[in-house]
Amino acid sequence: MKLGWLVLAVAVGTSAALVAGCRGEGSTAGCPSAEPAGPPVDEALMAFLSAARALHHEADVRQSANDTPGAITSLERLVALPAPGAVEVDEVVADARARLAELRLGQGDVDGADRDVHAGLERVKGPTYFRGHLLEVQGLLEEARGSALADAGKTAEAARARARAVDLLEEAVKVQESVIDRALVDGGKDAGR
Amino acid sequence: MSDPRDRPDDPLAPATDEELAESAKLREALGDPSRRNDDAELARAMSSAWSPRDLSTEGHRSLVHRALIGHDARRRRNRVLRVSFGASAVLALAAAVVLYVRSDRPQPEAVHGTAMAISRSTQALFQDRFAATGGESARIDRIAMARAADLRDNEFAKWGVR
Repeated sequence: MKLGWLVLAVAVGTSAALVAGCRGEGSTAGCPSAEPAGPPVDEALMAFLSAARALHHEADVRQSANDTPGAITSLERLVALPAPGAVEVDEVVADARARLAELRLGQGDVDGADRDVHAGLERVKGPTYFRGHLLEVQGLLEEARGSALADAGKTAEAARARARAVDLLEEAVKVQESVIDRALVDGGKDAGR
Repeated sequence: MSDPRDRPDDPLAPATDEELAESAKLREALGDPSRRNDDAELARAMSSAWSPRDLSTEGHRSLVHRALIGHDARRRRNRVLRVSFGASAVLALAAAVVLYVRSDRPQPEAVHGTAMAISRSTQALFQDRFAATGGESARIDRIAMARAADLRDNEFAKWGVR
């Protein structure tokens, strides 16, 4: 009979631990879905996405008219939009930050571009194309910084910047590869929407 | 010529020590039914067949005792079986709980019994890695359209018209 009680205790304990582990707010590794469930898609989220879309297209129009400062202004408005807490918001803002960084880099504003990249990376921590793209932009930024330093005769600093560029571009590739691996495992669900 | 009483099968020969010991055991077994002795069992069976009589108190007690020993053994076997089935049931219950938790977590909210689309990463909307430059407007277009469809579905779910 002692064996029976032991088996019972082990079974109950195991199930309790699994329930607590998967229901808790901590690590959900080993649980069915490590991706936290968000709130339902609602009007607030849609309003933000709609405004973000309009501002991206506004930036397109200004860029095509060679008005890069105007495009930057449009995107600065985008990243300052009031928004609900949602994964989509983080990803859209991160993407806008990457675009802003590229535009500022084109204008020679390396430090401003660096700030945008860092702010964007704060938004997207997991392995997504958004993070990979930001790391790629950061790598291009360091490459541009290295070239500028080399032109200024600062050979050692230029070499360090170029080494950072290579590291960042390698990290970007790793993130992209991990996204591709995950997509292959998931079978591309949600892709058809 | 030898004395025929010296032959081992001579019924009139004096009893050996072994025969004396066996007869003592038989006597004791006949007096105490709880002692196991095949010869005593045979003697009792023959006696009962010739002139049946009520069981003695000792005989009854002995039979009950033997029966209970067998019953206890069966009870122990049954208990092991019950514990095994119980443990299996508990394990099955634990597995069911785990399956419930697994199926519960990623499910979107439900209104009127219809699943609601929840906020989630847009990564799945993009099959290929992003181009080094450009493409942001196309991405926000795709995201906005996908979530607009989700919002429409959620509104229908709230109204209960799906």
